[in-house]
Amino acid sequence: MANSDATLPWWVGVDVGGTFTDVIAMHRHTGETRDHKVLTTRGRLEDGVLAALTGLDIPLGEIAEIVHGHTAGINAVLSRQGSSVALLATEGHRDLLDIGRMDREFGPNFYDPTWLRPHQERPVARRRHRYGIRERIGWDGAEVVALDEDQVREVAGRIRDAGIESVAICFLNSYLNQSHEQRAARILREELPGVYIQTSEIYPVTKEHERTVTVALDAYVGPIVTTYLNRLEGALAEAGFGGTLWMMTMNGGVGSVAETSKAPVFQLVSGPVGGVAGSVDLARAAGDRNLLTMDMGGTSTDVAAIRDATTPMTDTWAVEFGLTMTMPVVDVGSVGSGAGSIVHIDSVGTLRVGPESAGSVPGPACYGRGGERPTLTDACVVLGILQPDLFAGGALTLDVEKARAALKTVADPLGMSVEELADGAYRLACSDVAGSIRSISTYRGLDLREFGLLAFGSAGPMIAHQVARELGVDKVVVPQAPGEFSAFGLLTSDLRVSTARSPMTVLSTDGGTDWEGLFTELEEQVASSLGTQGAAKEDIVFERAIFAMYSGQTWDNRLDIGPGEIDDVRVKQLIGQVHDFYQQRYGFSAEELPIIVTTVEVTGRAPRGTLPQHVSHAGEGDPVLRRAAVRLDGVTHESAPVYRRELLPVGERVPGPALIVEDYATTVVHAGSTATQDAAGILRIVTDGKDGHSA
Amino acid sequence: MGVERMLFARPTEERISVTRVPVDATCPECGSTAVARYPVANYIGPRMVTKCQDCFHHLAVDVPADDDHWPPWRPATWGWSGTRAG
Amino acid sequence: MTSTIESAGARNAAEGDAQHLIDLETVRYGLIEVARDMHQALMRSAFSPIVRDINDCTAAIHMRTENGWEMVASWEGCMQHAFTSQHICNFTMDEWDEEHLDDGDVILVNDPWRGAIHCSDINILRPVRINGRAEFVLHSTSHVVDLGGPIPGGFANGVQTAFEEQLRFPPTLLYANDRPVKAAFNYLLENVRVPASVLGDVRALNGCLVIGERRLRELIGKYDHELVRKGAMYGVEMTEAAMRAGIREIPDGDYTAEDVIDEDGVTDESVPLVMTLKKRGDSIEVDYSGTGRQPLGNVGTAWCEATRCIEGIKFIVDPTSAVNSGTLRPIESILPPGSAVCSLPPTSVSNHVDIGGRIVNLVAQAMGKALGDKAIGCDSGTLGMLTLGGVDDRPGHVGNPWASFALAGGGWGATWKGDGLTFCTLAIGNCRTSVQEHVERESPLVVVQHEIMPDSGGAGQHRGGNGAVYTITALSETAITVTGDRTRLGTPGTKGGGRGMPFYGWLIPDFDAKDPASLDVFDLRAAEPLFGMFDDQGIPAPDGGTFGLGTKYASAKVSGIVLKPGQAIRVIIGGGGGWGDPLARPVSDVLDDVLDAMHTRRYAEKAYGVVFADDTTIDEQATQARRAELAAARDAGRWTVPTACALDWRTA
Repeated sequence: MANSDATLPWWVGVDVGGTFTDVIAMHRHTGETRDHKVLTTRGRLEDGVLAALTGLDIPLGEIAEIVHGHTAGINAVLSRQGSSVALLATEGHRDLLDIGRMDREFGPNFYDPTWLRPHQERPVARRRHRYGIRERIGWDGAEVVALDEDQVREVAGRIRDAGIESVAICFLNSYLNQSHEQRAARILREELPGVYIQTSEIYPVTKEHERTVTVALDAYVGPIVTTYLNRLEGALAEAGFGGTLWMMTMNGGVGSVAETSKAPVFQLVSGPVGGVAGSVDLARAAGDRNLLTMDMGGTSTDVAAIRDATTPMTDTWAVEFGLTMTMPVVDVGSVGSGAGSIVHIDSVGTLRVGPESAGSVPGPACYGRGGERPTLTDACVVLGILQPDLFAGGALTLDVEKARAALKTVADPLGMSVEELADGAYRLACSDVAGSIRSISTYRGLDLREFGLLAFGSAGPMIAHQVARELGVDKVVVPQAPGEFSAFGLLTSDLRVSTARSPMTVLSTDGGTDWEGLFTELEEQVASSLGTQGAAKEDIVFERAIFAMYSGQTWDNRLDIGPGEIDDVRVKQLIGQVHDFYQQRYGFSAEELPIIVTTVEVTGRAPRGTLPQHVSHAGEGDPVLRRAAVRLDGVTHESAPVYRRELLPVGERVPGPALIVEDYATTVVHAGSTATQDAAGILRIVTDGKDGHSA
Repeated sequence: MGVERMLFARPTEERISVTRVPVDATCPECGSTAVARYPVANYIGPRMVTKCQDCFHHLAVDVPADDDHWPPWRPATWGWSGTRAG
Repeated sequence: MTSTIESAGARNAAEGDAQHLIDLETVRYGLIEVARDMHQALMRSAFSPIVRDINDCTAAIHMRTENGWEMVASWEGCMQHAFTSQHICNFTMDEWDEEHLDDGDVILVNDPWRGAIHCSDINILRPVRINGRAEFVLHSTSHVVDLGGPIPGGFANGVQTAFEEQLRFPPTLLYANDRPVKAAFNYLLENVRVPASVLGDVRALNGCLVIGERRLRELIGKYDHELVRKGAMYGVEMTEAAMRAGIREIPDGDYTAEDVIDEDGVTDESVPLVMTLKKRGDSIEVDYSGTGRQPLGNVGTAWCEATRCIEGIKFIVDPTSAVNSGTLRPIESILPPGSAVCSLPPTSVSNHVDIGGRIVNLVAQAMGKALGDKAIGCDSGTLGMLTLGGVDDRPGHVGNPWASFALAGGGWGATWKGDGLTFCTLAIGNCRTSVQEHVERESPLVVVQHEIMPDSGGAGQHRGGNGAVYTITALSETAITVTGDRTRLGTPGTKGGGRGMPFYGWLIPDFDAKDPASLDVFDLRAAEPLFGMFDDQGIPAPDGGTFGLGTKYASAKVSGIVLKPGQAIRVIIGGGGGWGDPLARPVSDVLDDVLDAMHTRRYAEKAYGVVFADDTTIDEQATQARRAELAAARDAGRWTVPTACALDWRTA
């Protein structure tokens, strides 16, 4: 990176989560890593950041780059403590936020007569501050009603009188013609200096509800996020930091503070991004190009499907029901199954694991911190999967009796033994995660036989093999230090800039649309933005995608289209690709119908540099620490080998059933499969008889 | 059989009700003698039920016979054997 | 109302060891996943705007049991379908000669006298055979945009016989061994106005069943047939147990309520509906005896109320369990033949939505008598739906036939917990909004206004959800059908809560988008009333006005309205009923309502007894006095809670 000092040795990743602020650092030359964790300091996040950095024992002046993810924005949204927002909408359409898509939330709320759409209960922009502006752009981008500039000024006066901090401007059809929004924005900037103003320019695509939500949420969190970042930059500078601060964005990469501050809402949720970035990196580097990923933490598991080592992307993201944004975002699903998920009997009388979680306080019963309800972790202890003395590098001895006692409170009413319940809870949790993975993969036309399952988060490896068996996937991949995989992913994230346009035209060779020209134009924009952030032009790789559907439909489908000039031959090929996709995904294709391309999307990525491979060398000694009783598939294996991962030689075969334990994770290997660790320190479990080769 | 249960005139009565025909029986569940037989739509479809009116215990659940006229309408092809095409 | 089942229930239902319970739970959920995948495929690949935008579609899985065909999993789009699906399956499978069934056979049926909701909602059924016998039937249904008949869009308001409605299919073989049956397809496609859209929808409907069979067989392959059967029944029994536990909470008794459909579109006679909900122990009978005879017009229903009423019951006794046969098992319906809920062929039955909505309102009212505080206000009770269609003449689109529906959403009733939901279609739906930006490209429609209608939610301690104002213009000539009810009386509240605003419609013959007054809903100078309760000044007056005074139509069930370019139609769909005494609504909430324009100041003063010191402040002392006055007047029979409706309209 042009603005990154290559002489400074350290790269640091900082992830401010809801409870903890984690930092991880890597020395660019030696590969040494350090990490530290402090409690998040709500209200002044930068204090926690500085404290965590201090805990690394690295002079801030030696840090070349800091990659930063935070929850300032999402916290503000979920707790409704963002800025006061005024919305300027096309007259007659100022209630889009309350309408949502007018439907009800599927699940236990569906038939509940007391249910309210979240925005109606807790608005982001109150109705009294939503203004219908006299203006209209038509379906073809032409002006139908001129912008009433006097009215805009009058509204500005009311906004001023009400002391509102932030304004969102989103008009109908503005994705075709932004002139009205831009003029209104200009007037407001004159009238309301110091007020934050945002328009559809942050992502000018179709779908008026989703676009309005995006602009409104950006107005809601923009001031908070930018203020926080100003303070952080100041605090870092004061503490001697002179390197580059990168912000994580939901499109799976990072950007400079200056660039990303144009659309702070795209930093809203950084949590899953590091995991996806790291997974894509691994897919490229290790040659496992098709990977289903599962990142299991304490409360939930994030899942994604990586095809051909490409970042999986989508264009909508539901913050809450009825508040769906449209934006370039990594395609990650989430299910409420985590290590701390509570095993319980629900109101219908059936056994469930999660989504309620014991968190880390009090945490699972076996932590001995006062938790009395059984969790997935407690089940794993009883099954012998988690060896009590080997947990968390020995820092916390798990109390098996407390785990048993907690499980008994649920086992007894169900007439089961504690072991049977532990079995069942484990299987249910794996089933839930498998279901979530199916919904982002098979249900989108992917053939799981072509994929391996990548597991991380400290809890991922303890269920991964079972999940793989549920899915019919024959290869499980467990990286080094899976508990830190997301953080490392964050560290090594590429610069990414995404942009899109909605041409809404037919995909054909009749010359109506210059597809190559359109993509090239977007690529130039993206390249320009990357350039200002220090990327060299020759380092930039473009990812192209189209959103397509048959004429007459409204649900478009995202298809990566890869590089290569879009000439007539390519167009015909793409048409075929869309038909095939429909056949696989929906069970039919309609070859006689025109295909509409609603949106085209370009992402440019540029590497920030390289870090040394994170490799451990196998220590000396017998990798089998001991043999222990482990219960898998309802059968207790009295003397299953327990391996220490750090002592496992490269290439040594570990047949299941077995446990492979490291400081902060345990990998379960079931019978009928064999695990081996390669020179890069990656563990792979492959079903015996399958070659484990995917893509 | 045939078309006589396909077309009906609109009733002349302003309000329509279902008669529950009393049946001489005692409910085995609660001992009540308030037992009646009448046409219902249960979870599967049209049925004639014999139920205790006090506790709703079912003494019988029967597929309607021809003369139950329940539902009143019936396809002309009722009882015909089928083909590959229906 | 939720209740916790004895966990022994799960264990007993599981019948076997603990591993088995987990297996059953996994299968149960696996079946729901298959239904979900079917529905997602259907919704995302359909062509009719009804399905893809509005979500008027559902997928279900039925299994052969000793009782008949029972639904073991479903995934709603439109709520009502999950309740009616089982009967549709049973009527058809009862009649079909299974001896001739083969793999890949798909049956089309849309006959209301065989359980279908109305002809527009076409159903296709795909039996899944195992060892030579159909063991499962997969069902997909969606509302197609046009199915022939004299009135485009299918709401044949004003006709008296089914012969004048849409194509009606008794069980008809649509695919034989996965190959389209040409005769059936030709008959369908050659008799509809938008064959491309209907063909697209049929493909999507079938495609989703192809996907469903694939997934179901994978599930069976993984867990084996016997276990899948047991898991399916486990799911049904769990839901049944939850419903029965909720039903047990209601005191035994007979609870009667009466409501009305305004008129039938042919005469101006209203159609009375009576429901007696009888509860004994853990089961319910819904007896419609006393209901008016079937109307002349198309607002009666044939069979679907047998099960659709169960939705209203579920809201109250068991909102959270998955819907399957277990939801239906504890409830029996008594449908008087020849009544409006059991109309006899060949009467017209294409408008099911008003009775459908009214039945759910009736359940709320009947159960309200048993529930005390847990009674809920009724929802708007009408879809207030516009059916639109025509031939496009915009440059680049000339000659394209198009059809569309417009659902602006009403309000749901207030409850003990709080205000009602604003912007939601009737309980029988769950309809989504269209993407306006797409609608405007594909058809010559421009939605110029879709906003909250002030003063439309019923007054109460908790306010009914507000309804919507919806104004639409067309760039080329457009034929419109309006299907609405609750034009004479707004929907009722409960426990002293007031009625929501009734349904209103106007034609604006000279709509000028550039005129600032054109979107002022209270400015009636350029608007010609189509239907509603008005006073002699042309002002909406639900209390004390006269239905049809000065209006073009004597009903909101009208077809054949023609909108020329430059004209607009505006409808106001009223909100839900209020809950509790409006004189007890906290003053700060009333102030918020007015500042947010959910209520106007003048209506707030009238209905809530508040006294404003100025436009943004309420005089609390004066309010207290005023409220005491109104309460006394109410006790003396001199004051009632006014129906929701603004007071400031401009007619001159």
